Amino acid sequence: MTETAVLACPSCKRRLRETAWHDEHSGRCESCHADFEAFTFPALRNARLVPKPQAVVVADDSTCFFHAENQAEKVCESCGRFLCSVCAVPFGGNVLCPRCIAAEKAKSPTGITKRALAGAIALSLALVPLLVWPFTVITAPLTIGFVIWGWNLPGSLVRGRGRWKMVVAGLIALAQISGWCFVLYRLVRHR
Amino acid sequence: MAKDERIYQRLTRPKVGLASYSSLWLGPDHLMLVKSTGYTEEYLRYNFSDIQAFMLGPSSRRMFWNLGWGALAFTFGILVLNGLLRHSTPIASSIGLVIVAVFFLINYLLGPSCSVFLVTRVQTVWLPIVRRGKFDRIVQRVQPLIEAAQADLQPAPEAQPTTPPIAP
Repeated sequence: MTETAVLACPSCKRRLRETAWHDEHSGRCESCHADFEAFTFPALRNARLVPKPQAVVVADDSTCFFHAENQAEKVCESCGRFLCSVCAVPFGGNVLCPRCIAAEKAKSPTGITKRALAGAIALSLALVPLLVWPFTVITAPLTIGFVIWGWNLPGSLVRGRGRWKMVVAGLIALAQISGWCFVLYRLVRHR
Repeated sequence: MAKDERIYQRLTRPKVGLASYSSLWLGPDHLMLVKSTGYTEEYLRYNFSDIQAFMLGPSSRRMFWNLGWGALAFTFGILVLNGLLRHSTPIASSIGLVIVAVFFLINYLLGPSCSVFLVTRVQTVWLPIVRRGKFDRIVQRVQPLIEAAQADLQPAPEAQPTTPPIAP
């Protein structure tokens, strides 16, 4: 099996030799003697045909917006720029240029690579300072401010905003502020 | 999360890794690995057209959990036996023994454990799938999607041998 040259043992990470395979889907690594199974797909042996751009032959030919030396073969369906075969990328059923693809990805959930979880941050800001409670005189107002500022921030892409955490953090911070107000009132009164 | 962001379906529950926990989600044309620290989330996407293989290897997870629950059950069992020999009613130890026995049974019934890796042309990624039964269900779900996405792939052309430059 030619694909053994590119697959590695899941246990020891060494490349699997052809003799390691019992059949198409399983075998035993000759290095670490661990059994393994493989579920392979056509991409292991096949590849997408890479389009080769055509060079400009006649000076009056339309050229690619991004590669002046390549002939324009398609038009971006979003911005209308002329594109060579390398820059014309199928995306979501349309042919788009790299810049329009980047813009589409930025709008789409599939383009998001990282998110901060404001709810978890607010809850930690409210709870963790309780370990050293005098700090809550500073962190309680900070928590309230963070809850107000971060209320409309996007949350987890897969688990939602976690607004209940913001609500709980806000309530805890309010309780802490009330406690400090009470302490201050008693101090002032006893003077 | 806005309504238009709800495009992912959960495949696995979070599994603890090094300083983070990971879960696997199914997108419209890709698998997404979510790595979370509790305060931030990182999203790693693997298009169906890029997935070359899933590799499965052995894992001692089930055995270690069995050993752990077994050791606890043994401890509680000793306490229960000790209580019975002293003609007392070891309620707390009995409850502990029952709870541990239930967890032991659950761990056994969940089936064999495994470690799963996703292979693409440029990387091999550990997936948070730790039970063989779960892996079989996930593969049953994503295999048709991956094969459909790769239906238009052509056999890769043979690499041309490079000729060394002729010395002057």
